[in-house]
Parts: sequence; C-alpha cells; structure tokens
Amino acid sequence: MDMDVSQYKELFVSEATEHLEALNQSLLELEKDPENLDLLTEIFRSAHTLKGMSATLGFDQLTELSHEMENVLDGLRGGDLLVTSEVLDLLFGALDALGALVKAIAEDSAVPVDTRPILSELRAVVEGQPLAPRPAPMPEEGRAAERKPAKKPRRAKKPRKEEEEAAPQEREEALPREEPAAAAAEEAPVESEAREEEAPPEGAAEIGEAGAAAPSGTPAAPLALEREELKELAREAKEGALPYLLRITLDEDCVLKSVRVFMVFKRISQASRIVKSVPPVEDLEDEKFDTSFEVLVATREDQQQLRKSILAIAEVEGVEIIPLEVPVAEEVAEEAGRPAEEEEKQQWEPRERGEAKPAQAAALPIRTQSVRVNISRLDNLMNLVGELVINRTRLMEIASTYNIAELKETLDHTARLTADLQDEVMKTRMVPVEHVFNRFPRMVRDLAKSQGKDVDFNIEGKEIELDRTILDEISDPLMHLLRNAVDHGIDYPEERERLGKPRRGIITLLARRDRNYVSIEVSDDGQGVDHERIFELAVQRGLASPEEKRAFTDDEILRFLASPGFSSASEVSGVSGRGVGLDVVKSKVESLGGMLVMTSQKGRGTTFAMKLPLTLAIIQALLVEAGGEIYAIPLGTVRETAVVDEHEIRQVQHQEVIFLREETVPLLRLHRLLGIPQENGKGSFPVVVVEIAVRSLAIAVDELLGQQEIVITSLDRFLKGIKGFAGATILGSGRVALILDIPSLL
Amino acid sequence: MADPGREDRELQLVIFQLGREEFAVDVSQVREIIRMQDITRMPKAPSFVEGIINLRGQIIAVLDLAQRLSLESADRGSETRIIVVEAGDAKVGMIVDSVSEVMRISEEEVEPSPALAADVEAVYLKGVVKRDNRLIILLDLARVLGAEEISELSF
Repeated sequence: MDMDVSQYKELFVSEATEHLEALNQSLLELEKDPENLDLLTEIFRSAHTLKGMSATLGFDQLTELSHEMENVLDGLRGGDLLVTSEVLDLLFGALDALGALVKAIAEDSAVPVDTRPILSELRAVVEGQPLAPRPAPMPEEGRAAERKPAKKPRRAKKPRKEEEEAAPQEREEALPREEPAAAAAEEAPVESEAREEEAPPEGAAEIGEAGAAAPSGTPAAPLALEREELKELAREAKEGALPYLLRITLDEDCVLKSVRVFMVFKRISQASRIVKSVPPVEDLEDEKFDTSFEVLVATREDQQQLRKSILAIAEVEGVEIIPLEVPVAEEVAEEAGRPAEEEEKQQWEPRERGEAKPAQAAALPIRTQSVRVNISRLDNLMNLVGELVINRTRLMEIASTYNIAELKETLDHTARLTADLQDEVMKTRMVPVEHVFNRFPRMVRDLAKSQGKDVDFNIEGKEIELDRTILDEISDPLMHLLRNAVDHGIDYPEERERLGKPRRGIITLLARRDRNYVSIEVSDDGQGVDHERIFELAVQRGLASPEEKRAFTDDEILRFLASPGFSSASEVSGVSGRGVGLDVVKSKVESLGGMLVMTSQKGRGTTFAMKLPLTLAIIQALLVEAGGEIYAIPLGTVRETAVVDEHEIRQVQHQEVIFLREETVPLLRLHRLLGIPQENGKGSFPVVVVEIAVRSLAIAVDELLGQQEIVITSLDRFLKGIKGFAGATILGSGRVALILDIPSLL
Repeated sequence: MADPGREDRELQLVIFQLGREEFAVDVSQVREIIRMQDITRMPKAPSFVEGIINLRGQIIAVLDLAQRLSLESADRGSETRIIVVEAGDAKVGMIVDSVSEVMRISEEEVEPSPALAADVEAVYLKGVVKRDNRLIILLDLARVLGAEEISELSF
C-alpha cells in the first residue's frame, strides 16, 4: 500500500529543520566546550529523533545518514572517539547533507542528493575506533540499546509496519468511526474505565512522572494552575463545560510523537477547550516527554465519546479521564483578593480525593501554549484588520460630518477595540530575530575557517522581535553582510598581529529596538574601508568628479559602495566582492521601508546597520497637503513640526536653511522635490522636520492635516520603478494618498 | 489557406474610442470598465501616468492612454471611461474617450496592420480589423503597458 505522506510532509520538514538548526547550534557549542557530555547527549538525542522521524515517513536516505551520524556521536559519547576538529567538520558536513535532503523533500525535488561520500567518511571514523566494549552511558537505556548497528535490520523494517498502521487511520481522522478505529474504541472503554478507578491514588505520582520525563530533569510537579486558568475554568463551567484531566498514553514504539500530540490536541479542541497541558505544549512539540502527557480541558462533551475519539488516533495506547471539581467563581474572585502568600499558583486536586495533598515540589514553570499557524493566515488576518481600520476612519469622518454625538462615542470605543485588535494581530506576527540569527554562527565559522581567519562571532539582542515577513526578507541581505565581514572586513591573523590587534577578529551581529525601528547591525573589527580608495573608484566610474572631494563626508563616500555594480575589492573572491551586492542589500532594506547606514574607520572596522520598521502593514503617519494632494509621511522619521516664516529662511551655500533652537536645518520644499505646483501667497508655512540617518531636514508643505494610522499598500510592478514613495494608502474618504519615502526623494 | 487550428477561433473585443480612432482590446484581458473618478496624481511618474485610484481596496495605476499613444483625445466628460485591464501581473486602468461595444470576430479577420493605418506607432499594434467600413485597431497591451519602458521614462 502506498502511503500518502504529503499531508505530513510540511510538518516533517518544519520539525526536521528545527532539529537541524538545534544540531548546528549544539555542535558549535561543543566545538567550544568539547568535554561537555550533556551537550553530546543533547546532540545525540536530536540526531536520534531525526532518524526516527525520517524512518516513520520512509525517507531512507535521511534515516541512513542520521543513523551513521548517530554512530559517530555514540562513539564520542562513549569516549571511544575524541571531539577533534576533523570529526566536527565531518559532523557539520553530515548536517549539511541532511539539510540538503530535507530541502529536497520540501521542494519535491527529483534531483538526487548523493550521500555516499559522507556516509563512507562517517563509517570510516566509526570503524577506526578501538572495539573495546563500552559501558552503557547516560540514563537512557531504551535508546542506547537500539542504536547499536546490529539492530539495524529491525529498524529498517519498522517504518513500513508503522506506515501501514498509521496511514489509513490518520487519514480517516475526521471520521473516527472507520473500522480499525472503531475496533480500537470498543476495546478501550473497559480498559480505561478500570484505570480510571485506580487513577486517583496514583494521580499525583503520575503527573510527577510526566514532569520528570522532561530532559531538564524537572522534579515531580503537581498540577498547578495559574489564577487565570482557574478563572477560565470557572467561566467555562458556567457555560456548562466541565473540567477534566485527560491522561493520554502513547505507544512505546511511537516514533513521531509530536504528530500524535498534534492530532490529539486537534481532536480535543474540536469540542473542548484546552486549558493547559503537562508538560507544556512546547515540550510536547519537542517530544520532551516519555509516553504519556496530561491535558486539562473544559468540555461539554460526553466522557465516553471523548475517550473513544482520542483512542481512535493511531498509536494512542490509553486515555484516562479524571473529572475535576468545578472551581467556583466567587472562590476565584476571593482567591484574587487574597494576598499571594505562597505562590501565584494553586493546587488543583482531582475531585475524588478528600484532603488536599501538600505540594511535593516546586510547580512546573507555566509557559504559554502555542499553536503553529500558517503565515498566510496571519497575512489574511492582517489584511482584514487593515480594512477594518480604513472603515473605522471612514465612519469617524461621517460621524463628524453629521455631528452625531452618540455615534462618535461608540466609534471612540470601536477605535480602542480595533487598536487593541490590531496590536494583537501585530504581535502574533512578531518573531524573535534569533529565528534567522541562529543560522549564521555556523556559516561564519565555516567561512572563517576556509579562509584561514580567526573569528569570534557574537550575537546580541536575539530576543528582539520583528515582523515575520520583514525577518524573512532580510535573511539574505544579512547573510551577505556577514560574508562581507568575514571576507573583507576581518583581516588575516598575521596582519592583525602586525597592527597590534588580537589575532582573533570579532564579528558582532546585533539587534536592538530603537523607537519605531529595529536596528540590525553587522560590525567587524577588521581593516575598515579606505575612503580615499573608494572615492578614487567613484571618480573612475564617473559617479563623482575629483573636485567634489571636499564636498563629501566620509559617510557619504561610503554610500558609493552601495551603488549598483560598485566594487572596491581589487580581486573579487569567490565569496563576495566588497560592494558587490551591497546595492542589492540597500534596495531590499529600502523596499521594506528601512534604510542602510554604513560607518567605517580605516584599520578599525566597519558597521552596517539596517534600520527596519517593526511591522510592514500599518503605521502611524503624518498627513500633509502639498499641491492639492495629500501625502503621508511615516511618523517614525518625523522629529517635529514647526511653522516657518519666509523671512526666517537663510541661504547657506546655495541651500535654504532654517534655524530651529540654535540648530541649522536644511530646508527642502516638497513641491520642488516632487515637481508639483506650489501654493502661493502665504507668508508662513508649516515644515515637517524629519530625521534621515543622522541628519535632520525640514520639509516645507502647504498644510499639516494631522496624524493618522494608515495601512500601507505597496505599489504594483507598474509603478515600483518610480522613486520617492514607500507605497500608497487609502484614506477614510476612499481617496488614495501616496506615502513619501523621504530618503529616496533626495 | 489558414491552418486548421486557427480557423474557428473566435475573439471577443472591447471596442473603445480615442481621438478619431477606434481601438480594441481582447475581452479576456479586461477586468472591468468604470466611470471616471478622482485620481491621485503620481509625481515623478511619466506624464502618461495619470495617477492612482482606489479600486475597491486595491490601488492601481491609471494611464492616459491617449498620451501613451501620442494621440489627441476628446475632453473628459460623461462618456469618459477607465478600462481596467490585467496584463502580466499588473492591473492597470486606461482612460479612453468612450466604450461602445463588445464585438465578436473570428481570428482570421485580424489583419497585420498596414504601416500607415493609424496615427499610432506600429509597435503598439497587434493588427487591424476591418468591418462595415470601420477600421478597428487591435492594441498589443503587453507593449502598451511595457514596464521596462515605464521605468526608463521615469528617470
């Protein structure tokens, strides 16, 4: 029978990718700390899981390669092999090959990946080891027994057996009454009812077990609930949904445990509310549990019904359902009023048990539950919120036109709600930059090594969050900047020594929040940029004339680097030419509404900073009028507004300037920048002072209309080539306003 | 004799007027025809880009087709229409003097355009259709809306 793996492919690919990332990360750490056995164990476990997942879905090449890799890791763990630079390189190589295989699966690529060379290398390393019998290391005998090569034939067969069992049932998931499922369900009640009776006395102990199964070795933990969770249960109970604790046990042989967990959760949430799980969902997703886990639900569904349908899921061995006492709303309220003496949590007891049991140990740290959501869903949600915002603005205009007080009041409330909604949606789209940053340590290491350079790679601020779309988009530019830093930034160890710098260069990748922007910076302490040389090149390429030299500041000279096709590398290496592609980086960053700022000191190093908006879709903007049209200026760049009188304008080197509190600010007139008619006959006019890079500029407009939230719509292909605009937005009136991109207007 | 594959193919054309000429575009490329409306000017764009409009939440560019084809056009009035077409991946509106009908023709009726058939540069033409003393010019939308040209012109 042919198994339809397509529906699991996506899940598999995303999990496998995560495992590979984790492996990369851990191997890098191991390189720094070769003696760390815990780390080795973690690596081994990850490789093992990967193997299991691959085998389940019948990806033979992946299975074989991860198996060989596991053998090497086993050798390292048992002390038969040493963590040498060669072995690490080999393991990194194996990870790359695994990555290529996963990618091929993701893309349904028919191009075969040749794993033979790496396989034979891995085998050679293992065979080169002394065949001394070794003591079973680490406390995970079950797995240790399996990993011996002698057991290989058994493992090779296993996946097929599982496929046959798993596939049909999983596909019938929506119709749990299908034959095999029904058969399982019929048997089940007897068994689980029996269990239920003996459940209470065991309850706490078993929960403890589940907790202990987490590799962190968390001590046994009782079911501790946050006040929020109690409140939720009370609320649900009012609606007629009773709280139950479900203890679900999976088959011991279950390989893709997270898939089962996912299906169980999916099934439960069809008719019940999941309040929490032990261990937390993240751990369940990471398969950090043994064979059983617990879910606290509030449901109106019949117990038997619920039990049957969960048992219908393949590889679910048993389900216990323990009714819990309904928390009383008053109790919760009282609870809230009481000072938090012990902790923020409260013991939750099965209702059969008479007296409260003392807490055996510290409660598990409660983490929020998470759900994987397709990014296109979030995009849709965002678009809908965007339209809601437009409509709200429109309604507000109507309300003020007709001056209806009641409508205005309601709308004020609606405004707050939409703002909150928008905020929440925005937050769901935010992901920590580490998702992308984590890919780089490995790349930098390999690159530095291949070039004979010594590099310390530091990452700072990886918890900073950025809109998912933006993050995806900057991954390539970042990679380019980092390559640049290794390739051209960092100098060779000998050279560094000669200059009195430490032999080891430092590359720092940093993210930080800066008002409405996130700044992502790549800096190195390498050779820096030779401004003279760049200016010469700019002259050669006709971008500047020699006489202009004095007119350019160092930073302005650096900007030549980002002109299309500009390269200052005398010899372009295979990796990246300094400047080649920097224009691509710059235009990518600008297309996201951000900017690229470069600073460099000869001999001291170079910094590239990408200043990016937090989110793409909705921004605060200042609306202005010029030449009869409305334009929006993103508030992020606006420093202040002022009113200027014509006679206050001075000329400095053919440039109009104004004085703002002692500061001289160049004055630019929007109608001139845009080539549109100017409104005449006024002695004074408003200016918008914007901050571009480190400079301030005053932009003269005809009128200031006020601040408003706008939804950015990008201009289509047809108008993209026109510089000066970051997009357009639809105003409440239905009219379209262009969003000014001041840097590109200059 | 025409090849058999071509023989029976029928074309549906949207016929519109611009200046003194009659033009046509294939109906499969036309998304909708709307009345003239307020258009937001797009500074720094080539002069034939009239501006941008809000088409039910979507922002699209609107071209002054007469300018694009270097023709004179009638004054804007109640007959003026914007034909929204889709070519490649872009949706674009084209301002025309008026829209008259949808005409069915067989593909055979399309003749290669004689060099002097119209005041329009031959590169924008797909061919001409002659019917009842009328000469209808079939536009090559891909050329008319050529993105390369637009970005070239904008600098």
